[in-house]
Amino acid sequence: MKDWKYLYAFVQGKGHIEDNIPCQDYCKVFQHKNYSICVVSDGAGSCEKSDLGSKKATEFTDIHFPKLIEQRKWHTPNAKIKSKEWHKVAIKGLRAIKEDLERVRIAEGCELKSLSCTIIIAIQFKTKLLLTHIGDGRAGYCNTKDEWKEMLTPYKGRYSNETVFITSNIWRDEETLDRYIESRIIEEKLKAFCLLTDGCENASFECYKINEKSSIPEDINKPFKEFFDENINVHIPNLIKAQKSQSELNEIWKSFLRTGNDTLKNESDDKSMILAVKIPA
Amino acid sequence: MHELTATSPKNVQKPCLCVLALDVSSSMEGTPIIELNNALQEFYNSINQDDEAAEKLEICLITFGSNAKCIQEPAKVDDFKMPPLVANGTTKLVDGINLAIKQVELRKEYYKKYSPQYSRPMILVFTDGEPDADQDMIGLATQIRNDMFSKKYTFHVLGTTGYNHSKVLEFCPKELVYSIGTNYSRFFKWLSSSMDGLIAGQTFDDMRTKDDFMQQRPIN
Repeated sequence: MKDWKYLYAFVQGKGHIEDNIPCQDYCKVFQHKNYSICVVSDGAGSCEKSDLGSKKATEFTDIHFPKLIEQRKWHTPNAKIKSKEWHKVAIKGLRAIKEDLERVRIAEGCELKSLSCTIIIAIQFKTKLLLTHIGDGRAGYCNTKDEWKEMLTPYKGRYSNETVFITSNIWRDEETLDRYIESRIIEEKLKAFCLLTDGCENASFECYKINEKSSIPEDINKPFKEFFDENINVHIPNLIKAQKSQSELNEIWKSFLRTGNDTLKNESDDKSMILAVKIPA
Repeated sequence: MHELTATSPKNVQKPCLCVLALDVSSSMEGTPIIELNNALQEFYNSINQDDEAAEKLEICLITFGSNAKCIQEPAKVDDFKMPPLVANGTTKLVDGINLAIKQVELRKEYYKKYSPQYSRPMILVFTDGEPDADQDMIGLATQIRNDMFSKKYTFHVLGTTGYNHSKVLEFCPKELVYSIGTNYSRFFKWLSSSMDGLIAGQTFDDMRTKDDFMQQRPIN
């Protein structure tokens, strides 16, 4: 995906800095011939080794998903991918990651629960984006008409601390898997897209708005145009024009996620986001 | 200076209910009730000055003396004034806790109907004594055990000087009982500064290692 640039970083939230807890988020972009794999993972705040869980889950993604894609030749031009088929493949890949985490659990001598993490995986081909996820992260895209849309529904439990993780007890039957694993194919022409953990949601998404009737918040789940537009249309193209390297871009992104505005600065949760931007010709 | 800029939306916070069930029996007369009133007012002011907590937190006040009463339905600090408490009567502690549980259930029904998500409600019970002899502690013990198992709310009992620890243990698991002596003010200061963690569903025990107040006063 030579005509795309990816900015990605994960940073400690204010609460974790104060309490001296390591960043439990992780994210990475893996570039392959004809496709890219973007992964964002959020380690559970209450789990001891969830920083390791999120890192390992991200790395295992790049072991299993390339095989699944290339076996089916989905990375070749004009490959047809049906939604149902992608969902099945996504479950297969996610299950393999979960099984690898079981091996990490044994090596570390810990419970699987202590590696708990959410995961969002986006596989970008020239003309489509395959997306799958478990947990409460968010993702959205901007089409060539400059419209921002969500591309997944975060699974939130009844309570704000009842997230479902890849390590959760969701693997027993198909019905349960379909409830907790969402997979989608986006075929619109894209200008940008983003994947983020919930630590970035207040800064970049319209999430909780007051329902005028009840005066109780409801989840809008819409990428906030004013957060992204100036960056994808002006600032990032300027950085690319200035020939910033990938590591320089990521450092700039990291600093932005840390203190880019008051919402980001005051967020107590860890923050990670991948922002993918198509480079203007 | 950042090379990137962004405006963020105004998102409201997920609601969290905090029910304070307060012993106002006659043994609280004099200094204890004055100190409790002052501490509650300080707590109210502190939440009011914390924009984030004020937006998230709904407070419900239950009192129990000879009767249990809900003297303040769940509301944000913007929407009510802290009422002064008057001590009088016996200690219908179990009725007070049952009323607190009922308030939690009612509010959860309301949230479920309209809100995509909410924080786990918390119940904090303050007592300087023990339940009246006619109170059903066995029934309450079963209910609390079941509710803790199904994570319906977080629950803590704060015993102040003179409370009967062994009676409280008849209905409440040991790890959820704390003695706070006579210093209500100190406790409520700790409570307001710990709201982030409590709203996130942590118990006092989860925060104990991080906090001087709890380290100095382990309780059981």
